Amino acid sequence: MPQHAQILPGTLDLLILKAVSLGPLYGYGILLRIEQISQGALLIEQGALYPALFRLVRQGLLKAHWDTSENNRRTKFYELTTAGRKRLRQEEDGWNRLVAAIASALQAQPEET
Amino acid sequence: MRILASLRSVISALFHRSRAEDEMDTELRAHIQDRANDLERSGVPRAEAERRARLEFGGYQKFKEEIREAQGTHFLETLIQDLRFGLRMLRKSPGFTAVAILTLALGIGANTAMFGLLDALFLQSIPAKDPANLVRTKDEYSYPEYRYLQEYALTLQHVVANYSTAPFYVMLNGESQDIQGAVVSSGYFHILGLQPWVGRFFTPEEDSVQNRDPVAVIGYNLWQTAYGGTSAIIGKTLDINDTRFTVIGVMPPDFRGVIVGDTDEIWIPTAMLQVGYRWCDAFQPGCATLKLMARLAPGCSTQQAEAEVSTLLRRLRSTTPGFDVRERPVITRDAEIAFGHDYLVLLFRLVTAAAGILLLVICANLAGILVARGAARQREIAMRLALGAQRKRVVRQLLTEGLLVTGLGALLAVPIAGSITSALINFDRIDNEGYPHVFQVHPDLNILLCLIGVTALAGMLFAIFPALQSSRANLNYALKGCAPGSLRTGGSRMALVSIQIALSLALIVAAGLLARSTVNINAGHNMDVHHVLGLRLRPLLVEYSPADAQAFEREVLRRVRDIPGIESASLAHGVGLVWGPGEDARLALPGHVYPKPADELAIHEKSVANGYFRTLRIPFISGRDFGELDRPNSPRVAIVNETLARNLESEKMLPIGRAIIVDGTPHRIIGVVKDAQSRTIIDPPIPVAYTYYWQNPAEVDARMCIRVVGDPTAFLPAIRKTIAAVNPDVPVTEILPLTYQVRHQFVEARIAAVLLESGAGLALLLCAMGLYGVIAYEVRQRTREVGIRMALGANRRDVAAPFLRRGIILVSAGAAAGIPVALSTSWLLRAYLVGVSPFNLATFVAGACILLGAALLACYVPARRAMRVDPMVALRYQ
Repeated sequence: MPQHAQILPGTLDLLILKAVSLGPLYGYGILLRIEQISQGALLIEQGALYPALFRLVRQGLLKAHWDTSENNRRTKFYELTTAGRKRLRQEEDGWNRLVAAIASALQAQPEET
Repeated sequence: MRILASLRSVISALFHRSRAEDEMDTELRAHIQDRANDLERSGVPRAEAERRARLEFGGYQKFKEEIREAQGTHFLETLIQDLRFGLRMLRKSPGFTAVAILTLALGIGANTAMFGLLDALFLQSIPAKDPANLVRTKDEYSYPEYRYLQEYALTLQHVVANYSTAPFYVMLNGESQDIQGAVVSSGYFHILGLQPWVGRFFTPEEDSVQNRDPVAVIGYNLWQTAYGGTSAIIGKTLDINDTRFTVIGVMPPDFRGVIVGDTDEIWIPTAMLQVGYRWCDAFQPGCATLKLMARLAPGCSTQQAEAEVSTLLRRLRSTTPGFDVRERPVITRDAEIAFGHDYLVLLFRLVTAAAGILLLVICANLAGILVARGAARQREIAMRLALGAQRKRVVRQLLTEGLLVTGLGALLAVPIAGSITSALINFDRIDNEGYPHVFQVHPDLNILLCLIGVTALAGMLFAIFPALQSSRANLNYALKGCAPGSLRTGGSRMALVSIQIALSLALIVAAGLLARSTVNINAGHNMDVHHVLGLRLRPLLVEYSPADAQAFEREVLRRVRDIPGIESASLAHGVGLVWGPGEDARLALPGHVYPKPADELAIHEKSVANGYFRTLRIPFISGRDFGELDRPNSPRVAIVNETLARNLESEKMLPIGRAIIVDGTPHRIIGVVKDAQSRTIIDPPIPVAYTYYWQNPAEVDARMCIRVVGDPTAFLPAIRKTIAAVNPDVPVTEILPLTYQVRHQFVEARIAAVLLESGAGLALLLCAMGLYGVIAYEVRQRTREVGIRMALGANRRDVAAPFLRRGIILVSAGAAAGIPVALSTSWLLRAYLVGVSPFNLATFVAGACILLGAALLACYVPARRAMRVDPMVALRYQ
């Protein structure tokens, strides 16, 4: 079992955007997708997904519509809007820069002469 | 986009509240179901799977609440909550609430009225189709000049002529009525884009041959009042100045002429100009009476048009005799036009300046009040923060309160704006010849909204700074009531109040001086026009010969003097004010040689009948009035005023009996009267020679003055009947009590007086509010100190004294700074002051006393609060 990492505040939005960027999904599907793409390394409190989803819809980054799911139930599907796609790219860049910076900071060795 | 999306989400959340809740439940339940199904598939028993699914989901209700918040559903609920709390807070401090709301209401109201007036007077252009290239001439031109320009000007297209406010005497329902009209070209209607309400306008054909087509278009008002709005009016006849016209159309409602305040009711073609204009032969080259309007030819500037018109007129002059030499014509675009009434331009400047300053002061004052309030509430805010309130939420609460105050102020501003507007437009409805002006001014909704926006923004800005400051405040300090930084805000507020006091003193003194001046103007100078009725007889308008006209006037005067209740009656030359100095004239002394005509004394000449001085109560210094001794064919006599007499006395000769030559005609002086013209203190007195009306056969246009016992207007029917008995056709016009004429004479000074008086009143009020704010703030800040001092045995007076002292110091400093300001504004007002010096000590002292009184009152109210401090409560409170 891989080690679980606590999710950083603010990164949930990024994960949701990323998950949805691969195709329209409903709530539980998003959760599964996040687990899948992070190889189960990230755990989130499941309910916390929904306030984040509503917030993203309100910010115009996601749009939602009701449709029938594969098991024939009315379900709410989320997909990225253009603004959401743009935001995702920005967040990815920002994140990558941050990670690179932190990584290089951690790799620095104390100078031993 | 985002705003729109969130707005939509709020609205849909609000209106589909229950559906949204249902959907939310469906979605969340589905999630738990899906999870439970997955778990079951992986081998967990159903009941256990459902339990674990719910556990993993977390707090169901908590997330629902978070979703609601994320969705924005909370916004309105929070707003209502904030509003309710805000109202409670406002009720808790009624003083602050009243002051803030009143300040706002006055500010917004006064500014709405002022800007509305400006808009109506100056910014609304005439209802032309395409006003951008519409131009007008500043000066009047004669009919031949107009026709010439119409034909030859290339820079101007569609040249039309317009002689507005022409006196038309019309027989309506068997009575001669005085109606203002206009003589206009047929193109006038077209260039203004007017459409007839009923019938038609006159054609170019009807405006082409002089005196051939007597057709008239009447105004909507006249049509309604005199003809009951029947369409049968078309084709009816109408006698205008004794000429029979045919009514062919009715103007649309609301059109009363091209200049603001015009009250035209009848329009006739320029080819009928002789009917409308009788002072010179209307079609002669030198009889300039028509203003021109035109459209600039494409690509032409007004400068090019002026140059062309100038050239054309010079060419016309060189080929045809009789034209006046003209200065360079002035042609302006309609939008740039300065209107016919100079005082409106003055009004425009004053109102703009006053409105701007007022808005600034009010924003500053509101800011001051809010800053003080923010500071006073630091403790409360600190407490709420300490109890876990979000900063955002606290700031929002304060902003809601600010908006609430603004909203209430704006609500109150509406009736205030309405009453100020009506006061402004009713100010001078009737001019000094008795003609009404109509100003269609309505408080403008857009202006109101715009001002509410500006004030609200200012309010918000100033509410937000102390709020932010409070929200960042060190909770410990704030709770103990010694927040750092509060002293600094106090200092800037004091500076603000001092400046206000200085400006207020200047305003109060200026208003006082103008008020005294107005009293002097209304009283009249060496005369008394109360109980005197003025009216104008114009026999020339109905084609009397001059000799018959004088006989008619003599007869009217004789019969009017016999009406019971009439003390005396007389008449003077018809143009201008009854007591005015008359027309420019040159005075020469016999035996003197004047190398140039300009070396002669410049005086004024006024032609008056016997009894004139008695009727106006202008006192004689020496000599006698005109009388029966002075026959039309006996040597001409004159009465001079004091100033002229003094000028003559410098020649070491007593004026009585001396011969003077007025405009080339010798007169013998028979009397000296006092100067009767009110003059501002910078204008020198006018030398006037009164000549005898009956000795000058050219005098036919008479302005009567009739002194009665009691109300002058009550005698009007009897006087009208008497005149009609001599000749019912002669127009009797410009009827008004002379007090009106007096008042109107210095209309600029009066407008300035009213504006400054209201300005001073407002300034005083605002000053008091500002001062109140400062002192109240201080009392609140020092409540604990007061409590301690009282606990240590200080009595109430000792406690209140420092606050009062602080107020007095502030006022004295402000007033001291205000004195030089007041001196210089008074000096600038010289041109409006009648009979009072700009440095009138009494006015300065009175102004300072009023200011001090108001200031003391403003300080006393909060100081009394300090006296009432209960030491126990104060100490526990802190």
